[in-house]
Amino acid sequence: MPHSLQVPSEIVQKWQEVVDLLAEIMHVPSALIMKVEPPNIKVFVSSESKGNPYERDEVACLNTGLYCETVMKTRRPLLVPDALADEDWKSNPDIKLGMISYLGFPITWPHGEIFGTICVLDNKKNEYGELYRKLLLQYRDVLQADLRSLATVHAELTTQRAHLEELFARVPEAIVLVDAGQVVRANPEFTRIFGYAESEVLGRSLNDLIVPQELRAEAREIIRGGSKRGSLSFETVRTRKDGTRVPVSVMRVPVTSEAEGSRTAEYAIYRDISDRKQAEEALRKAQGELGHVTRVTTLGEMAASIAHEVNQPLAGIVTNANACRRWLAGATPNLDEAREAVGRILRDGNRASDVIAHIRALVQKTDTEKARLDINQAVQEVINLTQHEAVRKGVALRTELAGELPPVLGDRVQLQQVILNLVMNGIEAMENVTDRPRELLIRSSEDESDKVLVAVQDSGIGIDSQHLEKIFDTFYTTKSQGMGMGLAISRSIVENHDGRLWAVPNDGPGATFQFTLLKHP
Amino acid sequence: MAEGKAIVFVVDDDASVREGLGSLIRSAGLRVETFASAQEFLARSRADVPSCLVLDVRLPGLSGLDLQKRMAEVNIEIPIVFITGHGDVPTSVQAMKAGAVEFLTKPFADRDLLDAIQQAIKRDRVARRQQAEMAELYDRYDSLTPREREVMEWVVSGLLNKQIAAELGTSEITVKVHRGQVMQKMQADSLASLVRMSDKLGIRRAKKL
Repeated sequence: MPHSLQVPSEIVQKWQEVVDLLAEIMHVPSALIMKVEPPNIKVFVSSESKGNPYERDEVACLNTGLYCETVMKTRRPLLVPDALADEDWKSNPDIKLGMISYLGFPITWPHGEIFGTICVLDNKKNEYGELYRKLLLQYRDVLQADLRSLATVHAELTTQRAHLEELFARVPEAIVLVDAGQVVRANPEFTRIFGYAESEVLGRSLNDLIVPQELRAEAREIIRGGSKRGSLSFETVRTRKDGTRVPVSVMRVPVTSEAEGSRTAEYAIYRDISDRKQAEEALRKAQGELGHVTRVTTLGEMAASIAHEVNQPLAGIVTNANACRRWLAGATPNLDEAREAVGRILRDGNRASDVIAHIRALVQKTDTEKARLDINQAVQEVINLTQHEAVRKGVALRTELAGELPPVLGDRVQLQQVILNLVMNGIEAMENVTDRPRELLIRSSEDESDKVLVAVQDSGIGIDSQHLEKIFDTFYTTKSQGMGMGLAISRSIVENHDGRLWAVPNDGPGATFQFTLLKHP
Repeated sequence: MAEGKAIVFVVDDDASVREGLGSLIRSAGLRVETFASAQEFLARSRADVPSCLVLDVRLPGLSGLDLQKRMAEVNIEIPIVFITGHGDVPTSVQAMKAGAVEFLTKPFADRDLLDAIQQAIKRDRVARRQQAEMAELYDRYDSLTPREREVMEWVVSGLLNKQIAAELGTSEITVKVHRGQVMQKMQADSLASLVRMSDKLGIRRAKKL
């Protein structure tokens, strides 16, 4: 509403000069600018001239028959040369002040709303000649021009403020205006992130509200350091109203006011970065797991290529043995051919043996990285790797891991390869089990002789007692797809750790494979 | 046509397996020639007798599958028995699709290999016989005069001598003489066998206008 607009003091000062000039030029005691403020009319500016009975800010009620009231009502100029001789005016309130002649013009805001009047009054009869009227009208227009620019500036400010308010309310960042360490404003996003309503934080300190206890000193330090440089931003953690923590990025922007040096206000801007932090965390974890899986499976792939190396001489042995048998089977055995075939069998046998020696050397090679490790954790990670396969094969994985287990010294990847091998063997051993639950139990414990024991117990087909040792021989396999390498390599690894790997039949169905490792000294 | 003693070619880079295979195949009374690489096999001239190739999939240089493809390109139609150290399904499917007789994973039972070899040689014998027959048939057809070939086309189309004479603008007697020549040169003892021969030769039967 324009009439609620404050006319700034510099304009009032200018208007004062206008009325002073008018009174002097027109030789009248009073030149006034009146302003309507329903239900009153107020002396807004009054000339500092001799005999002027009106004082600034004097208020009169409307509806009392004032000259100005008529001007405002009709929006037309009014000239009363001699009120005493005029029926309509001889009893108006201004006569009591001795003002018996009047000339006034209406002043309006740019949109037509009435502001008030500009008028001159005299204590004697006055006709106010043509020039005087023109002069008053001219000044009236100057006043209206001032009001116009005032209204324009006001409209612009209103629009800008509305935009800022909207931004403040909708921006996906918490914005807090802090002055002298106290919250002056906080937007809805602040409420969303931290749980405090604006009313709960006004007049309080952000440090007390959302900075975790242990970070308060640091936060003060950062802000102090930052205020010297201007704005600053950093990532940290803050506390919500309910006590939970929220990762945020913080930006602090000082409010630059005209009065430089007294820079006490600033905006604190917070962005909730929980999602990003979570994604980063998940990524880091996934990368860690991937790296680990890669290392564990590399050993598996090595076994596959070893399998090919070993299969070649095996194929030679079988082929030559077949040939040999055929040469010997006839009515007249061909001993020369048979002898040659046997020679090749021997050669292949030695070749296979060389490959195995090479594998053993590989496993025992120096790239074992022995370190202090928690075997329970190693077991848990293998379970994570095999869970999917277990579910696929309908096997329930169960663990009974000792709570307080001393650490062991070992190569994590190699030992996990052993555990992985035992777990996979166990799962496969139960593949054809249909009459009882397929359960794989992985236990860990500390035995009486300073050793840590890991046992993998299945409810599968079990092992004949006379085969309990044989299964650890290279190439011995009971599986249609097996190479007979897994247990042999596993035993090499465990022995390389000064441990022992062996199998025992269960009381019930299935078998238990277990190994011991020395405690870390 | 030479129907000599069948021969088995073996290509395997592993000396022990190669020699073992040679020995095994010889023990079954077959002739064997062994090669350490595909290139060596391609370079050697081969006797024109029923044969088969025992081929390792994994070879240095040209692989077994490459050799199979190369042989198809240059029309060496020797049936192949593949052997491999690690029998992966996609490779075996590819080999079998390209016409391999069998795909064996090492180590294999001697019976399986020898059966596959016998089957391959049998297949080659049949193929060679068919090829020989075709060659003979082409020779006979080549001995016909242009006029006789024309008459043969009409004859196998089912026209009577009289009709052929009309088509060719000649006398029935002349047609009869040509027809006799055709039957004799093609060594056909009946119209039915002449029709079969023309089918094998891919002769298009003439259409009456």
